Amino acid sequence: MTTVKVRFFNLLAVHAGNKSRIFEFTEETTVAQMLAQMANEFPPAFRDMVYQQDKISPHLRIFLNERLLYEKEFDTVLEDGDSLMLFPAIAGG
Amino acid sequence: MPLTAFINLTHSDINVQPTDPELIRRWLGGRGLGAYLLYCHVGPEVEAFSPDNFLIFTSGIMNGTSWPTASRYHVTFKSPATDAYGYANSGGFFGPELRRAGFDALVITGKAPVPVFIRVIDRDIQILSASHLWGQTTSHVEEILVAEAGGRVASIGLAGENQVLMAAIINDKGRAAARSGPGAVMGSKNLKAVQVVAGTPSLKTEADFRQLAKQTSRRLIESPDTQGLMNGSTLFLMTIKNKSGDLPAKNHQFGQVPFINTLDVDTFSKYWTRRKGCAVCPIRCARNSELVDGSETIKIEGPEYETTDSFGPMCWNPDPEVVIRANALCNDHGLDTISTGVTIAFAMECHENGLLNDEEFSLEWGDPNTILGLIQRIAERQGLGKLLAEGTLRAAQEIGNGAEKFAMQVKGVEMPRQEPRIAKAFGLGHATSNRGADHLYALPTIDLAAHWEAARKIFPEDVLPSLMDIADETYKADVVMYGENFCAIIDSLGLCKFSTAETYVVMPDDLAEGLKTMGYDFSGDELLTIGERIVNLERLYNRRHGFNSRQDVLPARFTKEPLPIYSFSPGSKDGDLVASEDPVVVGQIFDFEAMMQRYYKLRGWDENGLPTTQTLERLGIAQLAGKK
Repeated sequence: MTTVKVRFFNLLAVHAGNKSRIFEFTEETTVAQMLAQMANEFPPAFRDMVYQQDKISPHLRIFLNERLLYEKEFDTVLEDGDSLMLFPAIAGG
Repeated sequence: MPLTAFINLTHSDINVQPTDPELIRRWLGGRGLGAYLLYCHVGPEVEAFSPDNFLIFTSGIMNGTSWPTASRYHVTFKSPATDAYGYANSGGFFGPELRRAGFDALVITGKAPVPVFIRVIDRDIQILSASHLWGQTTSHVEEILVAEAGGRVASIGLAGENQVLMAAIINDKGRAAARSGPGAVMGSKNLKAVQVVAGTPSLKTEADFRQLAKQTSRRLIESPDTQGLMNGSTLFLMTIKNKSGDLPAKNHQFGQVPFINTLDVDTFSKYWTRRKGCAVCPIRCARNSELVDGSETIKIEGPEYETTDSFGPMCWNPDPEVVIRANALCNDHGLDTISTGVTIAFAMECHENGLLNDEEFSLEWGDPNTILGLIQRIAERQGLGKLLAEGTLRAAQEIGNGAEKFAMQVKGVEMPRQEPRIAKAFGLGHATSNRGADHLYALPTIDLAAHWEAARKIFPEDVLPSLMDIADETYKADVVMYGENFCAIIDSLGLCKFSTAETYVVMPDDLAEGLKTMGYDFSGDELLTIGERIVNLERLYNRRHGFNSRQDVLPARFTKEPLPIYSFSPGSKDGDLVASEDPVVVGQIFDFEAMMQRYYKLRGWDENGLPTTQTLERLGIAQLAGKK
């Protein structure tokens, strides 16, 4: 069993209905797969923040154990005890 | 050794001196040097349009090198919009050209008896007749002068000539030193343009500097925080801001629009002809656009986000072509697109509330004729433009009957395009900024753009969950103060904030490392102290003009009116999105005064927002503070 804690920030917390949640997996799961699972489970507004035209949104910031993940790392396999933080990223302009 | 030129236009007197290295050690260059020179020479007795006002062009000390994004120059002056401190900053290629021509600063004073322009060819400076340039658009002026002598040109258009308070200086055709009225001050001096021609292709730097610059470029290109800017320009913000309620609309009555699909990257990309960057920029966030309408072709750099929100959602205009036309008009006439769009939105809301009518334009929300026609009239100071050329604060005072509540401004400068009830740190930063409402004075992105790793380096671990929550007001002052100190360094080195305070790819320690290989021995913390010194000197400048905490306020809309935010789904026949029945969240500032008082306390200022003697002594500017 792999247990992963996910913390949601700002509008993602609103759409997820919670600031954090524990997820448990029995099979090997990547960060991208976990996002897909959350997008299926949560309301459409959550999916709308996480994906853009079926790709992971450039506005989503994913931190694995407090380190910012690059796009090429979205296939990282999650390990027991990992923590994820998900933020919608907006900047100034 | 880099030079400072004092150019008196009244007497055609030019005095060039080596810049005192001690000034560079204390103020760096760019914004810091400009602040020091203005503070020492332009007191409260000098009016913004007096010949005694200074217009100071400064390069940053990294301009002219290969350091990534070292493209920006600074212009400092007493502002006709704030009636106190003013500055503007612009990218493109003018800043590096000025540096390579040998100058830290061109300090322009006096008023020419007839229109002139300044031509700098390496270290030689001439004041020449602008009789063939006066009345011309900025793009035409640039074409004429570049054909004559090459180099780079910063010029004013009709708006500057007419001393419109929101007049900008335009360089490289689409780049603007826009905020707080530099073009108006330039116009008041009868100065149409500054042309700089540098013979030196790039400044000599050591191999370890060049290596570090290269590595930093690579980090910028690879960072997740720059991908949106690289792939979608700043317009990539339109959609996410609309989802988040941070897209000011209808003069901040709303934070979202249902017609975002006509103002997003996909729509504007149909007009793009080329990706473009400023000097030494690996991010290259700009796009050239071309609009062909019958026999007419409009070519511009942009539009970028701030302009698009100003003439799009703020005026409740869904038409991207109106935004492109508005941008082109502002560039040619030399107008600040933010202030101009916000002023037109103000006029529309005044009209909606029965306070303002016009014989020429309907003033109805979204009306293209009103938007484009008023830009022209503002630049000309004709018709309703005569009133609106004064900006929202002064126009509201003239209109009366409560029009002030529709003026989205701080200290006389119109607000940039963030929504303070959602982006609360930005809201606080708009209010604290010493040059009036400004997103780039603090650029407090740490929470909004999710810079968790940077936040861990800067702030105590235990405050991070609260600090990174954009709705939580507890630590917004901390984010703003850090951002302000950091931005002051960035503006003084001549760098773009997209490599630094927007993305936090490059932090003060990285800059210190780069500067070391240029022979400047600062730590990251020492740089931040210089930034703090600059912010305090700017505050002292305003203190001399009677400013205190009473000027650090937001329009009442942001503290009195809640802002419901909805989720959207596709569905309506006209292509607009359909809002959810209930709001998903309500944007609201709970205790603005508490945020502000924490900010003052962190700064070492008293409760009236003024630096204490102890703070000034710590920063080594107590003696300057005593200077009248």
